[in-house]
This record gives sequence, C-alpha cells and structure tokens, in this order.
Amino acid sequence: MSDTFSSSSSPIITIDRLSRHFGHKLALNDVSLSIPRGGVVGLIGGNGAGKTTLLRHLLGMLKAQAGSVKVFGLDPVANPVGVLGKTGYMSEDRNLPNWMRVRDLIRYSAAFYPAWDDRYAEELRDAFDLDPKARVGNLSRGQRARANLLVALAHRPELLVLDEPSSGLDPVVRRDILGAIIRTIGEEGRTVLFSSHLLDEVERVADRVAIIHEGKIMLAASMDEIKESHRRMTLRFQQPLTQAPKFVGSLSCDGDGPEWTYVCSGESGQLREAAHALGATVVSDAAMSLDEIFVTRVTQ
Amino acid sequence: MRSIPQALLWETLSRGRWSLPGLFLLGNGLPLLVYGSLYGSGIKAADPIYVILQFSLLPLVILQFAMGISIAQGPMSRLYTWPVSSNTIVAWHTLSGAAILALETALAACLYNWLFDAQWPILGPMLFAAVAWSAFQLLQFIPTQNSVSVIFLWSCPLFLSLLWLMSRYGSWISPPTHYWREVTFVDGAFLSIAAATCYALTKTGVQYSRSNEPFPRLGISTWLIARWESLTLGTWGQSRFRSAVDAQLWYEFILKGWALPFLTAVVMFFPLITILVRFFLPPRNWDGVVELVLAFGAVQSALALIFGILFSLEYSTNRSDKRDEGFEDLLGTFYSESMGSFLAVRPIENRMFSNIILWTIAKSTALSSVIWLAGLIAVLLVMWLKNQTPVTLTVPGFGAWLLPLAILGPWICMANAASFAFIAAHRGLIFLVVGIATVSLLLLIAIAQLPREVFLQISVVGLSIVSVLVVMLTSWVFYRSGRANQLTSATQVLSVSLAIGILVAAFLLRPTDPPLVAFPLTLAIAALAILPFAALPLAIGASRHR
Repeated sequence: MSDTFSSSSSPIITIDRLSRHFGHKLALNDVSLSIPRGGVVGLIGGNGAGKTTLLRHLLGMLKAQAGSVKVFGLDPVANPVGVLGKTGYMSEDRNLPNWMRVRDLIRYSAAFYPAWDDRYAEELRDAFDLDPKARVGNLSRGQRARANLLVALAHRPELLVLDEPSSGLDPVVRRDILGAIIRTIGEEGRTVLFSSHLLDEVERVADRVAIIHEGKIMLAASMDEIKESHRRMTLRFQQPLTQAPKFVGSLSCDGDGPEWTYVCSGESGQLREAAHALGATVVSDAAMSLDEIFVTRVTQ
Repeated sequence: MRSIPQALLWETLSRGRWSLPGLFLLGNGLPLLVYGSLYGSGIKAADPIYVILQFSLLPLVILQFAMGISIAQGPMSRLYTWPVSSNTIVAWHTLSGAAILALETALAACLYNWLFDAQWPILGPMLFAAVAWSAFQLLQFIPTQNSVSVIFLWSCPLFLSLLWLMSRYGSWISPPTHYWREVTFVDGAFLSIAAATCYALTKTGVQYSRSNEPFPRLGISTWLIARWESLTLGTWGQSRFRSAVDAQLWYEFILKGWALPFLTAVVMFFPLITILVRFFLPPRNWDGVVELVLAFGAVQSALALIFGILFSLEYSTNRSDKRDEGFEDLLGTFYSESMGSFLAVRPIENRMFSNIILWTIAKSTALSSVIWLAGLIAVLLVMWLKNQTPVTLTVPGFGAWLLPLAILGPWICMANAASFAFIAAHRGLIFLVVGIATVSLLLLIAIAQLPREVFLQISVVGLSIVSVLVVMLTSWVFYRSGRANQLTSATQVLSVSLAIGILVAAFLLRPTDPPLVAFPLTLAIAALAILPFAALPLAIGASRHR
C-alpha cells in the first residue's frame, strides 16, 4: 500500500513531499499523496494529526514551506482563481459572516462562481429549511453548517473539500451532509475529499481512505483494499508460549499460552500459509472494521 | 467564603492581580508624562492647558481602568448556571466594578494633586467614573445581542453621562465654567438616572441571555437597517451582483467603508447645529467653531489610521453559540493571525482583492472629506452672511498646503494602516500603537525640555532621514510587488500619475519661503500616497497564504 491511490484517472490533487512547521511543532512531515479524479476520499486522523493543515494547503490558505501542492495541476497559492473557482469548501469552524442574511450570503457567493446554479441553490435552501431573511449569526449550529454546505455546493464544484463536516451536529444534519456528498459524486468526474473523526461515516460513503497520524500519511488505499488487507487472526500453537512468535505482517498481537490473536496486514490466503509454516492452526480469521484498523495503525 | 459578594470579590481580586494594577499604571502613564513635561517647563497646574488636558485625558484614563476591571471580573455568563438571581449577578458586578473604578479615579486625582501641586476635584470624577462603569458593563453586551437595538439602549445612558460632562465643561465652544468643583442636585439626578437605566438594561440583558432568548427588538432598528441597506446597496439592489468585484466591493463598504464618513457626519453635525443656533443669536466670537471644524480636518487622518486597521480584522468567526463576552474574549474575536477561511477561499486574485480594498478606502475617505468640506463651507458661508471677519485657510510657513493635506491625509493613513495591519496581525498592531504613543510622548517631552532652536534642528534632521527612508522603502516595495506579478500596468500608471500630481500640486501651492525640510517631506508624502498600491497586494498575500 502506497501514498498514491491506484486509479486509471488523472490525479486531481498531487502533494509532493509537503512539510509544515508551526513554530517548533512539525504539523506535516514529508507528506506525499496523489488523489485521482472522481469518488469520495476520507481523510482520517486523530486530533492534531494534521488533517486541517493538509486541507488548508490544498486551498492555498497555507503556503508550502517544503514540497509542493497541485490541485487541478495548479498551485493554489499562485493561482487561486483557477483552483478555488472549481472547489467547494466547508470549513471546520463554519466560518461565515455573521452580519449577512442568508439571502445576501447566497447572492454574494453566486457572484464569485460563473457556474453558480440559482435553481440548485434554491432547491438546497428549501431542502435545508433556511430562512432567507435570517441573519447568519442567528442560525443554529446545524443551520450554519447547512448554509456553509449550500454555498459550497451550489456552483457544482469539481472538487468538494469538507473539513470535519459532521463535527458536533445532530443525526439529521449529518444525514443532509452525507446526502450532499452522495449527490455530488452522482455527477460524473466529481471528487469529494473530507476529513472526519466519525469512522462509521467514512466507512459508509468513502471509497478511498487516507490515514494521517502525527503529520505523516500512514496508509492510503481504497476501502476494499484496506479491508481485504487487514485481518484479525487467532492462531493456536502446539504448545504454550511465553512470548508470541513473529508473524508476517503483524501490526499487534495479544494472548497467552498456546492461543495468540494477531492483527495483520496482508491477504488472508498468504497469512494462512504463513501460520501453517509456523506450525499453528488458524482458530479464527475475521475482517476488521475501519475503526479497528485505524486504532491499530495509530497505536502501533 | 460565606457569601456571594465575598466570593465574587475574591475572584475579581485574584483574577485581576495583574490586570488591575497593570491597567492602573498604563492608564496613568500618559497623563503623568504629559503633565510632568508641562510641569517641568514651568507651567502651573492652574493653567487652562492643564484643565483642557485633564478634560480630554480623563475619559481615556477611566476607560483603561474599566478594561482592567472587566478583565478581572470576567464575563457574567460564567455565573449563569449558578444558583444566583440575575439581579444578584448584575448588582454585584456593577457595585464592585463601580467601587473599584471610583477608587482608582480618586487615587489618580490624588496622585496628580500631590505630584503637580494641583487642586483638582475628586468627588465629581469619582461619581462620573462609577456611572461610566455601568455604561461600560452594558457595552459588553453589544456584539452578542441584537446589536443595533443594544446600541440604541446603551447610547441613552451614555448620552446622559455626556450631557453631564458638557454641563461641567460648557458646550462646544463656550468657555468652561467650573471644573467638577461642585456636584449640583441636577448633576446628581442625571447621574442617578443614567446609572439606574444602565443597571435595568444590563439586568434585562442578563435575563434574556441566561435563558438563551434573543434580546427584545426595537422596531426602529429594523426600520433603520432597512433604510441603511437600501441606501448603501444603492444600484446593487437585491438582485444578483454583476461580478465578483461588485460583490466584494459591497462586502467591504457595507462592513467597513461607511465608518469614517458616518463618524465625520456625526461630528460635523454638532458644529453645524451650533452655527444654526448662533445664527439667530447676538454676534459672538466664531473663531471657536472654525477652529473646531479645521481641527477635525486633521483629526480625520488619525481616525482614518484606526479605521484602516478595520480592513484586516476578522468579522467572520463562528460565535453563534456564545452569549456574552469579557473584554479579553472580545479582543480575541476580532484579531486573527491570518485571513478567515471565508474570505481566503474567494476565487479572486490578491491584486484584485487589494484594488477592491483600495477603492473602498478611496470612496470612504473621499466621502468623509466631502462631508467635512461641506461643513467648512457652511461655516464660512454663515460667517460671510453675518459679516464676520473671513478666516484665512493658509497657515504661515505652510502656504496653501493645509486643505490638500487634510484631504490626502486620511487616504495615506487609512490605506497604509490597512496594509500594515494585514501583515502584522495583533502583535504588530500593538507595536504600532505603542510606537505612535512613544513617539508622541517623546515629542511632547522634547518640546517641553529642549531649547526651541535645538528642537527645530533635531526635527529637521530627523524628518529628512525619515523621509529618505520612506522613499527607499516605497521603491523597494514596488520592486518586490512587480517581481511577484502583483502590479498591473493600470496600477503602475495610476501610481506614477498620483505621485506626479501630488508633487506638482505641492509645488504650485508652496509657501513663499518653504523650509528646507519641506522638500524631502513632500517626496515622502507622495511616496506614502502610492505605497499601498504595491504594499497591499503583498500584505493580503501574506495574510491569505500564511
């Protein structure tokens, strides 16, 4: 598994050896990642892992201190119009001008995007139940997220970047957001990149996943590849052991006596062969949830 | 601790162990240095200049003390979940704050009296400070409640305080009568009404805020906002903006650009009303009115410097779930290290962003100057109708530069302050404010302490060096901006034309015998006028792509 998703389509985002310091803290450490056009990519990581920093580089809000970032083949700092004109963004802090009314926010945002679809914007406003006369500052947290999503979607962006879109929201708003993601990828060739803590949500909609930990991309692959290549396997050895024997692709292990459970990276068939070679019998062999894979990877 | 007041007082004193003494010292710093330099040069405390200074500086000093107390007390919302009534929360915040502020004001007055052999009154300022605290406390609710309604609400007690202040010091141009020497029954009544009104409004605010209900709306504010929007939107109307530039121009002006012209209109309203009243009264000395209007021409530049900083401030943070703020939080709300994501992700080039801001600044300063000039012309017209001696708008040694400088000054100050503020964020802003205050103080001390000839020589050399540095800096910034592809040919032509225009105008309007320092100064002014064209796109880039 590499830091480049395997795909036949051309990359929409190319990050090459990107590093970023904030004072003494290393937020991104030599990150390389290539994201192909089309589909949904989930960026997962713990607090302070570097997710927001990475996304802000894609939008030109942070300038690469080392390495390079290309979106649509363009540098987002040097060419903000080329990149941002085709990108929709929902920030983690739902940064919107409190003083504007919803109708002003829509009118104002529309002016920046030639592809803005008035009818679609109105449909979304209706579906999200946003009062056009309401001030943004008076909207509830959920309504604010919906307003942010509306302005990110209504110009039908080629790339939709969502930073923790569901954070702190109730299930109804989360459903709206997931619906928007699904709607967006329903249109051919569009790409959604979203960061999240909520792994069940990522598991439901993402077809590719990148795990970031302490500023490094630990894993980037399609959801199917990740699930197929991570197994929880319990082995029984012929005699009790005080220490678990080394096992190929092992990420962690637990147990005592003759029975040991391994979390491994590798294909099931190969792992079974390796177990037989060690003289052990496979008691159980189970696929893992994304949540388990993530925890194993970051606590390794 | 056995009682709520005891607990609150303990909390205030422990949280304010740095802010209370710190802001007490800071607040007294400027008056002490100014009075000290005057005292050192032999001017006695009975001199009118001391009284005028005390009148001007006292509200600033009280404001700084109040900021210290506000930081020490913390926001009232921290007590919302405690088993205390809204009445108790407001009462103890108001009483303890008013007592501390009154005490600090009395201490400061005693200090000045002791150091400078003055006999300034103590009781009047103490009472004023106590009432001012009530208004200050109410003021903290503005950003989180229905803002326009609350502005109306707190302007009522503030107006009462202002009225009382004017009753002590006379109206705009009549001489002062008795400086706080006595507190009459009417004064006491005004102060009591102001304090009671502020208290009642704050309590109502806390009650609504505590139950997370919106503050009651006044129909007037909705009506005013609708009128204001229809005025400011103008041709933009409610339909689609024609372009991104159009939309961003609307954003910048409606949020920031209107402030300076609005303030100018408010300030000019008072002399114009005075003129109208005086027009029907027996002849009096009009010099005061003219001086006031002319002085505001210079003050406009100082205000423009402050309003220029507005262009870099962050207005877009998510504050929907916050109810009221302490002073510290309030500052943190607006200051940001980088441009907020809402503006940063607009698909618009930095140089276009810069042009939009500069156009807004030009519009704002031009409107402000037009209002000021209209006021000046009105005053001169009335004087002419009343057969008063015409006032000359030229100053000896300054030729006819006064008016053009008064018009150019706000542009230079606002546009350069905006550029600086974008790069510097809050740390730089503090350096700027402290730097300006330090230079002003040093100048004050130098004027008071140095022989006139020596002071003039130092000034000439200093100003010449600064002028050369400004011209060099401008050239360097233009070079950098050109290299970064941030200067369009139209901007270059505009910059060169403006600089040449300023130099030609300066030459045509020059005094008969200009001082030598005028030449480098003119070059520096022309450089400062065009510097933002190159500096602002770079500054926006630095803030947008940190």
